[in-house]
Amino acid sequence: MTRPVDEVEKLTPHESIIQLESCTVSFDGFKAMNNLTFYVEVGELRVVIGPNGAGKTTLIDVISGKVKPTHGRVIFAHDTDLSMLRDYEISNLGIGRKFQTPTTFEKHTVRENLELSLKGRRSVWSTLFSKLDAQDREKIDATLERVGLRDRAGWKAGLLSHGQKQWLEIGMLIMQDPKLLLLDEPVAGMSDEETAKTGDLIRSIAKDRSVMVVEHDMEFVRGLNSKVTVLHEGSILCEGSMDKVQNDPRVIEVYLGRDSAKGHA
Amino acid sequence: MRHLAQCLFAVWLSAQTPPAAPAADDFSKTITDLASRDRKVQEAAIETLGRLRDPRALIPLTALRQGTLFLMDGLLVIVPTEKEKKVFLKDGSELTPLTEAISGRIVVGPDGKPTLTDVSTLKRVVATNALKQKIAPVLSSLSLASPDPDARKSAAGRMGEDRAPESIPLLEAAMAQEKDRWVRLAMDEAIQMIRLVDPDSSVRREAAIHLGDIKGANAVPQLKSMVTPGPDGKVPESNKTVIDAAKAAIQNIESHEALTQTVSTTFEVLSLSSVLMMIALGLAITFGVMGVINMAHGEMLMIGAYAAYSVQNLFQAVLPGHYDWYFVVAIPVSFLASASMGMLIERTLLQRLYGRPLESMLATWGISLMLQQLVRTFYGAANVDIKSPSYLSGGLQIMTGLTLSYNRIFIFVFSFLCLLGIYLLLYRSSIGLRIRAVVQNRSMSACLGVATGRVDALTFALGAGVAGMAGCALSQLGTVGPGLGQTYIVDAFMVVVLGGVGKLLGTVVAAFGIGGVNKILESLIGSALPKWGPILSKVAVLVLLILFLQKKPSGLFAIKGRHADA
Amino acid sequence: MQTPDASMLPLWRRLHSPQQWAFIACLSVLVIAVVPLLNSAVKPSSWFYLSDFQVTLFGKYLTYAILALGMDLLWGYTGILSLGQGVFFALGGYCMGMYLMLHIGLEGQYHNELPDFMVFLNWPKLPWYWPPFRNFGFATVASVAVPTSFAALFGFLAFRSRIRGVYLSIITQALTYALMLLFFLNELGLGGNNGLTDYKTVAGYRLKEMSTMRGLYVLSGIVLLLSYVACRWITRSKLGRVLEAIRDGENRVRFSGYSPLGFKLFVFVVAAGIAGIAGALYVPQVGIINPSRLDPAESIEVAIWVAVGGRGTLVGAILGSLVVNGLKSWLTNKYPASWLYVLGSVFVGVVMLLPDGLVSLPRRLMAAWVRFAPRAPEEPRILEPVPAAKEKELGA
Repeated sequence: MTRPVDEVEKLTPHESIIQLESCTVSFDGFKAMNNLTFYVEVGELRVVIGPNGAGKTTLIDVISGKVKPTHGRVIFAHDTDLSMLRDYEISNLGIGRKFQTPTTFEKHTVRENLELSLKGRRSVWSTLFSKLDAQDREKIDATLERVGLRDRAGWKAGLLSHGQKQWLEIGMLIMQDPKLLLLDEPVAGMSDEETAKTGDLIRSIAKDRSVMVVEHDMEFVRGLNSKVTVLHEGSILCEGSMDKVQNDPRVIEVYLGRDSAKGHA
Repeated sequence: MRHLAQCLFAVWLSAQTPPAAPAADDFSKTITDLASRDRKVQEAAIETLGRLRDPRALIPLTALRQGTLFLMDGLLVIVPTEKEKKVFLKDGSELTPLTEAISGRIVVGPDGKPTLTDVSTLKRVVATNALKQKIAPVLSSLSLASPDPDARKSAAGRMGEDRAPESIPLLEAAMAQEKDRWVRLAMDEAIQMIRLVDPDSSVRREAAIHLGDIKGANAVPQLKSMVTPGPDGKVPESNKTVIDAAKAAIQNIESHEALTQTVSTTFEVLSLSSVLMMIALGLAITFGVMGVINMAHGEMLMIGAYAAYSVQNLFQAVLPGHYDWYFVVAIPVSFLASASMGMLIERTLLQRLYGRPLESMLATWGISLMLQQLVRTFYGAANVDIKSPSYLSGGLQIMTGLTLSYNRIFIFVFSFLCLLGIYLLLYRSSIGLRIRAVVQNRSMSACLGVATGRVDALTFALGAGVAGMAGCALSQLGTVGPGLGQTYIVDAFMVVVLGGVGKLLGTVVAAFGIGGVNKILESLIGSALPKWGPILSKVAVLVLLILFLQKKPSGLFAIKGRHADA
Repeated sequence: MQTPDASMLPLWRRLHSPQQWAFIACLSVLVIAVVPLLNSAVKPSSWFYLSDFQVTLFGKYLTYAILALGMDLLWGYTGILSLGQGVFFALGGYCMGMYLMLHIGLEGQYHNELPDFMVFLNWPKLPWYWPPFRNFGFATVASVAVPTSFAALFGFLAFRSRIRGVYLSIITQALTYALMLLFFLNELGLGGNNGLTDYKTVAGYRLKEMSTMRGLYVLSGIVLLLSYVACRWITRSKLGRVLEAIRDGENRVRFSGYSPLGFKLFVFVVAAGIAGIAGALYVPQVGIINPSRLDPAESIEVAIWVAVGGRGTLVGAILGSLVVNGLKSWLTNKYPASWLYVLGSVFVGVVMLLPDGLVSLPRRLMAAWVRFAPRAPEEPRILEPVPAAKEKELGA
């Protein structure tokens, strides 16, 4: 279900996969998130950009449960209030989160990393007695193929290149079969070729689930061709297509300084 | 009896006039007269000594009374009673060192070492029983004139216990001249205690009331025995007004004692907590900067204490006259000793273990084992004795029955001075700024040009040095042994865990919190289950800590905000 | 490293390859069967003879190895450096100790039904918690149940509060220290600082008899083998993967949907149970249990056994415990003053120079050999034109 990307619209609640209502996060007085109201549609691919300190990672932290908002609510799929839940519970609900720096399990092999992320029972007893069946192995193989790591399956994750680690982490998230994927700077530190591949990967993932990407690389963002939200000092500055956002004087001012804004207008 | 009373009266009269500064000749001659074969000369000498009120006469007179006064070639000497000082030879004879009767100095030979003499070659100065009886009151009045206030107090106390009515005039005379308020009080108490057995009931009553007023705790047993029924069911005291007065006095005194007990316990808690704070400060600093718990921190403490011990020995050997100054020198020496050891550990070991906190713990534990063994090898495994300098001995009396020892007061003040110093260093100096930067964000600080390696080394040395000074302070409080560090380290760890990392205030609050809670629980548990008090309180503190950490896993005052994940 | 279709294999095959099993079997026979025979069937004058003392000593080592296995599960696999395993070891030991004390019967110093130390303290009768330990079954079960229950409670509180890393280590150290002080109290009724000792029989067998000691030795060996297999099973399962993941990246584990609390608690309780069994086996062989077992130094030493052998390998734990304790026995005998220096340097040396332990030595030596070994000078190669087909293959 797609909407024209150059329209700025407030979504009706039942169409949102995640919805923040007047959320504030303050650390000792500093407001990392400032009365933010934010929606992502079901099935949407959304990109969030903003200068440093705008609150992008905090946004992901709040959704994934790493940080609890001091005020406000976080609603998932219209019916679940996330502020009561712990991070692993939120994960099991279907929200997958990728960290800024790759956090794979370095001493395990690529395959083992994926196996650990398999959607399924997460209790102590089930893991003690669990066995991989054919279906599971197929899923793992499929994911390996999808993220381009089939020939690295037996390698220890610590030996992968930076870009490959990012893919592995994305792969681990896919294994969890999430409804919402949160990707924090997925192409940071990648080469052009890797970046292009990642873009393809993300677009293909976004076909059957909601994805929210936080990024700095503007070329990459443009290439994703989706709706963009610009954050600044913990609130939304502007929303819309990449063109609209890039030409907005407020955005220019915030990124480049007042004089440039005057020059552009 | 009359003769004795006359003697005493004479003594008392003569005590009314301020004593003339005795000429050295007069005094020595009078002492020598004590050894005269003529009993009358001895008596006269005793009286003169009583009149002169020179406290130097205490030692020879006591010796004469005890039978340890001897003549050696015309010189009056005293033989010590303690067996340890004697040397026993194979042939059964015993050799002993001697002290000169007049000066109190040990008799030394030409080599400077004490001469050991066979007692059987000396001539004992004999005092008959009658003579000894004359000596006793003179001794008492001399003790009352001793330059040491504590000696005066105990002399008065003894007189009160003895309940000899003859002592009253002596005590009153001494009181009139006494400048120290607390000694006067002790003398007053003694007088009242003697009056408690006066045949006149109104005197007894007055004495009881007065004792209640001055909170004479030493009189309580006597007062209680007066009003408690004996095995025959009868109360020793017959007069009802006296009984009432005594009971009121007891109540008065005991409620005061409860007060002093509370104050005393509070003071003890404050003093112990301040020690804990000093120990924990060093640990918190190193942990904050490097994320390393130094398991050898207790040994930094121990090194500081042993450094103080070595300085003390040095002073005793080389500068005995300036012994009191050893402590002033010991403080910086202990700081330097521990700081250098800390720097050494950091440079050789810890900097290679950066980012591996658990392994750093194990490595520093290994160092701690080696350091303890090193000290055992060089100083012996037994505890060593450290004598406090004179200005730290004794205490400050602030209430009847409550003396706060000087060394504890000192430690309390010193620990806060250390805290202040550290605060100034961390928050008001440029090196402190660098340290704080590294604590909050190491990689960023490195990017900004802070030499994190040097900061690490300096911080570790600082933390160790502070522990060293704490050890030096601790040496004044108790015994020092190779296991000193182990006694305090677990509590110090608790303080760091509770206080959190990043703010000095956390360590301070945690130290006093743990110290206070420990003591409170100890008293609470101890009143119900006496022996279990100290142990269960430690267990309870641990349990409370774990429960507290449920709510606040980073401690009381941890820095909040964006952190690299622990 | 598991091969892709590992879970298709039968259980025993998943744990070890047949060659490895054969090796384990040989070793077990040697340790469990041959050693006691060298004491009972061989004449004292022979070079192969193992004295009574040595057999008991080795038995003690075996119990230490069991203790080390639990520690490896905790630290090597899950990254939890518990400095208080001594608590669980001692609790298990005291349970067995109480049983043994009660079976001294009238043979004690005071020829009283009550244990000697109670007579000495003028206690009229046994406190309420002693009588159940008269039963061997109860004592055995208790030596596992008591430590595990305690571990469950403590672990729950500790892990729930997300105390981690060094903080957790310190808390465990404080725990063992506090318990040591507690057990020193005579009032606790467990022998005070003298502990429980002077045992006569166990399960009807006289402890003075060498056959009993040999039997205990064999039992310890069997328990060690079984514990090893159990630990191996745990570590080779998915649970083992999760444990290692918790060690390497707890955050990612949480965000993959696992709650670390349950897993940490599981491994903590298992390690405690293993330690309890080890303690129960230790006490009859060594003949005494006292509060010095609860000294923090003892628990910290367990960590170094595992570190010396090699963390996260299980065999490393066994190896390390044997090596360090063997070294300790030898040195405290010959050069007593030097032992602490040596132990201290072992702590430092292992951490700095051999972080992966002795098990990693062959690999490291191999790598060093490959790097530094002298090689024959290379033959000059004659370049030939590469066939087209091969070129394509290389260029792809």
